Formats: sequence, C-alpha cells, structure tokens
Amino acid sequence: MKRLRIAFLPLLLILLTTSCKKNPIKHLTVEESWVYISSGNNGINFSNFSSVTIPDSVILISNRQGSNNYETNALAQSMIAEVKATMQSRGYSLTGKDNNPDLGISIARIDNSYTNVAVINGWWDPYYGYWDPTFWGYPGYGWAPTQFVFYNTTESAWAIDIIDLKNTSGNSLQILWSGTIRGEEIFNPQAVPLIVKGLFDIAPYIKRN
Amino acid sequence: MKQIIILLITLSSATVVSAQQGLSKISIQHSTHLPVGSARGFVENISPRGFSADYSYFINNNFSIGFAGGYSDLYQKKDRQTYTYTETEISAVKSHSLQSIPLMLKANYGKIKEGSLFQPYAGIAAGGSLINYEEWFGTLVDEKSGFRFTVAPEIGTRISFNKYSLAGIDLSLRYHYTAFKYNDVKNLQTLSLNLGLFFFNRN
Repeated sequence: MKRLRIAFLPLLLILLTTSCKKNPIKHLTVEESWVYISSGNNGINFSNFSSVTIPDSVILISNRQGSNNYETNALAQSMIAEVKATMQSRGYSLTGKDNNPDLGISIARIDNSYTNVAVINGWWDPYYGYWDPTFWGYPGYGWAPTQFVFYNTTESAWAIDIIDLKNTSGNSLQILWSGTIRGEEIFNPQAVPLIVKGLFDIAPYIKRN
Repeated sequence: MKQIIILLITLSSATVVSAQQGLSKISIQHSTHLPVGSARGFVENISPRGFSADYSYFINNNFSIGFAGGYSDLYQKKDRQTYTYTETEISAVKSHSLQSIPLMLKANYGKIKEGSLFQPYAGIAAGGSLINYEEWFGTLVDEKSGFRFTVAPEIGTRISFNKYSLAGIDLSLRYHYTAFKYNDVKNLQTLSLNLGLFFFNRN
C-alpha cells in the first residue's frame, strides 16, 4: 500500500505542472497584441470634404517626459508620412493650414507610466492573525497589519483625431473621427506602416469618393 | 473567527479519527473539460488542463461522503476580427480565459463488492467555485472573479488492478454547473471526463 501511495506523488506533480493556466499575453505575437479602435461612424459623409492638413509634429502626452511636448523625430515623421499617404490614397488633397483646409488631423503619442498602490488587508493577508484581536479589546474581530504593494503600469497608444475645419460653429471645433492604436512595439518605426493600415482598414468610410 | 477555526480543526480531526475505523478512499484524476451552453460561446475548445481530487469516507457499504476539489483552465484565442459597439469599431485578437477551482462536499452511492473488478458509482457534489474570467482585447483585459455556487453530479466506475487490490483506475463523467454570470456567459457549465487512480484505506 505504501508503495502505491508514493506512486500518487509523481501523478499529482504531473497534474499540477500540466494543468497550469495558459497565459493569454504570452500566447500573443507582437502583431496580435495590436488593438485598433475607430470611433465616429455616425453618418458623417466624408466625401463632403476635399482637403486636409496635418501638422509636421506629433503631440506627446506623457507623464514622464513633461507635458505639452511636440515631437518631430524619426518616429513622428514616419507616422505623419504614413497618415498623409493614407489620406491621399483615400482621395484627399494635402494642403497647409493657412489654405482653408476642410479637415485637420491631430496625431498624439500617449506614453504614460503609473505607479499604483494596492492594499492587502483581510483573510488572504499572509500576516492575518498576528495579533490576537482580544489584544485590542475586540475578541472575535479579525485584524492584521496593513500591507501596501506597489506596481507599475504603462499606457502606450497612438491617438489620431480628424477635426472638422469646414463647418465651424461658434467657437468650438468638432472632432469627426477618433482612432486609437494600442499594443506592444507600437512606438517602433518599423511597425508604423502596419498599424496605420490596420487602423484605417476598419474605417473604410473615410474617403473622398 | 478563531473559534470557527478551532471548530473546523476539531471537526476535521474527528473525521480523520472515525475514518480510520472504517473505509476511506482517495482519488486523483486528470480531467478533460468540454464547455457547454453559454460557456461554449466563450471558449469552444476542449481543455486538457484540469484535474480533480476527492476524499470519501464510507458510512456503510453503499454510501460515502467526503470532500472534492479540482482545477480547470479554459482558453481560446480568436483570430483578428472587428467588433462593433454602436459608433465604435474595435479590431483585435481576442483571448478568452476562464479558470475554475471547485471546493465541494460530495455524497456517492456505489456498492463495494469484494472481489469484483468493476465497481460503478454515482454521486453528487455541491459547494462553491473560485472563478476567474478574463476577456482580452490584445493586451487589454476585462476581468471578473468571484466565489460562486457549484453543483456537480457524476457517474463513474472504479476498476481495481486485480480482484483483491484496494487500488485501481478511477474513470468518471462529471457535469459541473456554476452560477457565474458575466457579459455573455450566463452560467458556467462544463462536462468533464476524468481518469485517474484511487486507493482505499482500511485500518
């Protein structure tokens, strides 16, 4: 019998190692991690517009490199060139912002890093029950020292907005369409042509004809 | 809290003491899970990542009561697709992931026949399951977890290694229902085929 019981141990081990959780992120390639979000398919007729202007810099929204920055580096240039080429292929003519363009396109790079704090205090706390609650005069109450856990998350995204410069009402500008790209390696210049295509592919209604 | 813990320790040691006077059984099985119903809509794939374990104490020759636990992991990666939410389109590779850890009390019926190889049984277990639900859009996640009611009836058979062996192969088919509701998952139902070993303890 003892031998049989010992035989259970490797079996249990095999089960524990083979029945682990499949980690979704580890099973994604870089391209599969890209998420494109397109917002603005609300009946606007994009063929009513003919010219578009795109500034020669990208807005940097970042909490670690200061705010209100404008980027003109190689990454920004490749992004701008790719969006320009896409708009041209959709039938729009490029023009400067002083020539009364119909549409304006703003490109922003979002690169935020956050430090978050989580509090652990409860029965799952490894230090639960260190002090007997009667010590504080409350028998039957659970108590443990509170622990704080710090963790860091980053938020990386491209945000592209198309602004209506033709029909300006009052003193506000209307955003006709917003596109967002998220995922891994999206700030790699080699990825730029692929991610711009991916985003505009789900917004086929943005076209002159 | 402390009183409850002491009570639980007393109770569990009492079970062990009385079990030593009779017959008890431990069984460890590998489980293959097939999602059913709305869970099938979330993950279509059959998953080989699961196991179950139980301890039973025989109150007489036919009935046993005990504890049952286990683990299952369902996972599916879907090809890139565009999902539409009113004015918004999202193009993403979605990954669906669902883990379940049931912790249940169980009751089984099955005659112990000395000297017979096949000993079929039927049983039911009920308790709670720790559920972890993850719906990933690329690397963005919609997550939900909780402890929910579970019931799991089963049929199976013990196949002894030989006529006089107290150990053998344990094969069973089990249905799991967990009252977990989130997004498109209305309840969590799986069917599992379980294959493993059992052994009887007689002191």
